[in-house]
Amino acid sequence: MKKHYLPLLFSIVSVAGATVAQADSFKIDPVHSTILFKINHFGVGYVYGRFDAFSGAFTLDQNDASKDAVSVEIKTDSVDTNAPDRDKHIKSPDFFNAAQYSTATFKSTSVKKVDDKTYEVTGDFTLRGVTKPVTLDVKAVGTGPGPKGEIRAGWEATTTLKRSEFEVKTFLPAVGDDVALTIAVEGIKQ
Amino acid sequence: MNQMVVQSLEGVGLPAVAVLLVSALWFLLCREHPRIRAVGIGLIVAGGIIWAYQLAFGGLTYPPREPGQWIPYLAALAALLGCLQSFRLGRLAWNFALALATALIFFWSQVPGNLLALLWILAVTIVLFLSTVILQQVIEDRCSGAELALSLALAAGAGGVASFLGGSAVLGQISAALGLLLGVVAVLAFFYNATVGAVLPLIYVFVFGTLLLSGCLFAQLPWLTAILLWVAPWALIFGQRSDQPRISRRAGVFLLRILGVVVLVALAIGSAVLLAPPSSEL
Repeated sequence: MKKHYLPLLFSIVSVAGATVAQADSFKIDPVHSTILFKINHFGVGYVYGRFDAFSGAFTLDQNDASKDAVSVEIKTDSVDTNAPDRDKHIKSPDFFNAAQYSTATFKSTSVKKVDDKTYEVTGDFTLRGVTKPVTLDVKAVGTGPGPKGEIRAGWEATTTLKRSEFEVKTFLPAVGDDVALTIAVEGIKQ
Repeated sequence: MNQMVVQSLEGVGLPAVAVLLVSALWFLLCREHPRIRAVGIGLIVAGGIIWAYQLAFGGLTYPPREPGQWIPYLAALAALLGCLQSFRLGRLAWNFALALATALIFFWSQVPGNLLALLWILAVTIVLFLSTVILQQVIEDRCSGAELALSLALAAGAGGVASFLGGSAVLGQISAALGLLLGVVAVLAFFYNATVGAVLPLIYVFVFGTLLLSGCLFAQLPWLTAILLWVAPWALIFGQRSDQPRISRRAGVFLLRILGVVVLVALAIGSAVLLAPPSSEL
């Protein structure tokens, strides 16, 4: 009789594996991911921008969140604020100095599970050659199969950086010091 | 008024006013001592540049990681070396060393994996070194203090406009501040009919050179504009200085002598307008 249960047991294992197994690696899908920022302008409004080119990966451990890890690399040259002249200025030495520092990076150092859907991810954020610890508030959006049957996991992370800490001080305080960052990603299981 | 415009005007104006007041006093005190006057003017202008940099970038960066962040340190170093040179201590050797150091600041990190960077280091070293020779010796011998300071001021001031057009308001602000500081010294040198010495050109070469290179390499300052601005003061090679005691006669010769510099600066601004994309408002 036991033999009859074996296929069923394999089926259950397969379904579980189709969601998230232990320490799965995901590669960020840039087509379905967005990195946004907003910054105060003269104390009266916000300017929003995004980065069009970035890459990254994350690892999820179903049983132990502390083993999770994430890394993101953003091309500073790809900044887009819907104003090409302003983008050129932001890429200049006044802000990103994109010719010298072509990337901004985040690499996690610890992950803390707050509840089933919420995590605190602390890591090193490097901008313009300056590295500072940053904590991202991360929400799990969902996990499941994509249109081609591939397994996807989606997350949204938010944090607020002080640009002056990264030695980007031009036009303070007219252009705000706080930069709200949102990293919304879908990863494809590898 | 726009808060950023006010910040920029303060960043240019406050150091200029300070340099005007202190330099005027120094010119008065050292009327009969050209060597000490030159040392003091160099140190005062270097102090003004450092303050202007702090106002523009919100402070000094130590250790500097970008070429532009070296500007206040280069100003101080050039001023100190200029002071030593005023007492005839190895002008050419120190100038070459500082020229090489400035070139290395820009290109040393690129040498591994890009041997072309060595050519850049060589070229920038030669250009900076020859410029110190031209400005410190050839032009200084042929120019009055006011002519020399004003020609440098015009080039640096125009560099401020060009850098702004080239997409970097901060580099533009520092360059404009440098121009105004030199302009202040030019006015004082004109009315005192005094020389400004060899310290000032040395500071100018390394600070303005770093500003222009940063603008070309890291922003979008056109190379043609930078080259025209760089050679503009060289127009003073032609002709001889006028040390007429009467201000009215001195002014006439002065304007004629400075005309060549003005033409080159105007060409530089024209090229920047044509070649550089317009800068934005944030």
